[in-house]
Amino acid sequence: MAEEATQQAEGGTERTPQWAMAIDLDRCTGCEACVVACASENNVPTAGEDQAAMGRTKHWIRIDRYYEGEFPDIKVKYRPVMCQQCDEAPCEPVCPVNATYQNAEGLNVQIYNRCIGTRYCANNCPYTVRFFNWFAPEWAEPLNLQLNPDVSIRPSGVVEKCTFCAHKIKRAKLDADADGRELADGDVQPACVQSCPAEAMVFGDMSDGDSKVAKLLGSGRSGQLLESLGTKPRVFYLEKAD
Amino acid sequence: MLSALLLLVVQTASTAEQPIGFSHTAHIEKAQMQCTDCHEGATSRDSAGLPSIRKCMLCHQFIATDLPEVVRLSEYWERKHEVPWERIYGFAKTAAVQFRHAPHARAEIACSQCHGDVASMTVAVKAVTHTMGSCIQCHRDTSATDDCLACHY
Repeated sequence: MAEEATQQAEGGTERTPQWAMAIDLDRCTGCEACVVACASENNVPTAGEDQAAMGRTKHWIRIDRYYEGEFPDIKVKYRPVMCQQCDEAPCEPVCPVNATYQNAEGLNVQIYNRCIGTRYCANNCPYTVRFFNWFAPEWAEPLNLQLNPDVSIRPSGVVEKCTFCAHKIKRAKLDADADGRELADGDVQPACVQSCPAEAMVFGDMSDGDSKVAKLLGSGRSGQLLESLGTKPRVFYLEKAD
Repeated sequence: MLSALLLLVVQTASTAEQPIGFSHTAHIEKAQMQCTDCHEGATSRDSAGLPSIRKCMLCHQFIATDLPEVVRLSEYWERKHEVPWERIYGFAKTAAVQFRHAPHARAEIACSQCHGDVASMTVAVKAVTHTMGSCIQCHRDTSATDDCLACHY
């Protein structure tokens, strides 16, 4: 009964998914498989040894390290950080050309064609997950042969960031459409989620109460990064409650 | 007269660009073939695709083997080369825009809507200019999505 009412209220099959991610910090080992998978999936260029030594790398996802205790009784905690896809995103209102906005599915979208490179968004992002392309991307051979045709190559002069693998969401929708079925929980797996050996990351539609991610969000262990800022991120971190 | 001359120039120029003067009208109007007989991906994949020479030779080993263009085709075949067709539609990689044929075919958008009346063309010419305006106009007319992310990602 309640399910029927929900379906009717949401327009039956026309339901708009609300994408969210849950990351279990107690499972994350900091192996950085997600970082590699992301760069490979999304055509994120490598900076090279010299530039990397100066801290000029570009990663749509990074692993933050937190140290607890005094050496040698030290405990390290890892936190994968990507664009938090905020509902109240600080990056959006500062863009003078509307190149970044939140779409109906809750994704914080970056349109490269529109971006004029003011970099206001990157400066206003409290999570520092937006990157400005000072140079056109280059790939040393043979990395140029593994570029993903589903993802645009971003030119110089624009800002780029994690898209929640929007192209994979699109692909999953098209596949479901071609098969004449609805998108099921688990059909969409961003590169980071797919590659996580500890299965610490879960992606899905949080408006669907039966989805894995919705259940994790309601587990009582979930919290958000810099919650006090009121940015309302769509990335939720699960930790053991103290 | 002038327009006829212009047309001739355009047609000649396009013909010269393609390695073989393939006539669409002969295949579609006369031989009653469908677009998807050769552009197989148009209904099921991202890219409509261009046919392999193996597909051409399925018929042309036996049919119209004496026509000059078919003779040129068999020369490629004998050398075991694909025909280096020139694409006339498509977006540059730098355009940062993605297009998928399959969902448009599922929405029953006719090929001619974006490619013009190819059935009456000999060598295909670019009859329709694809701009964001033309895409979005159609998307709005058919109540398809007009989210930027639908194409730009």
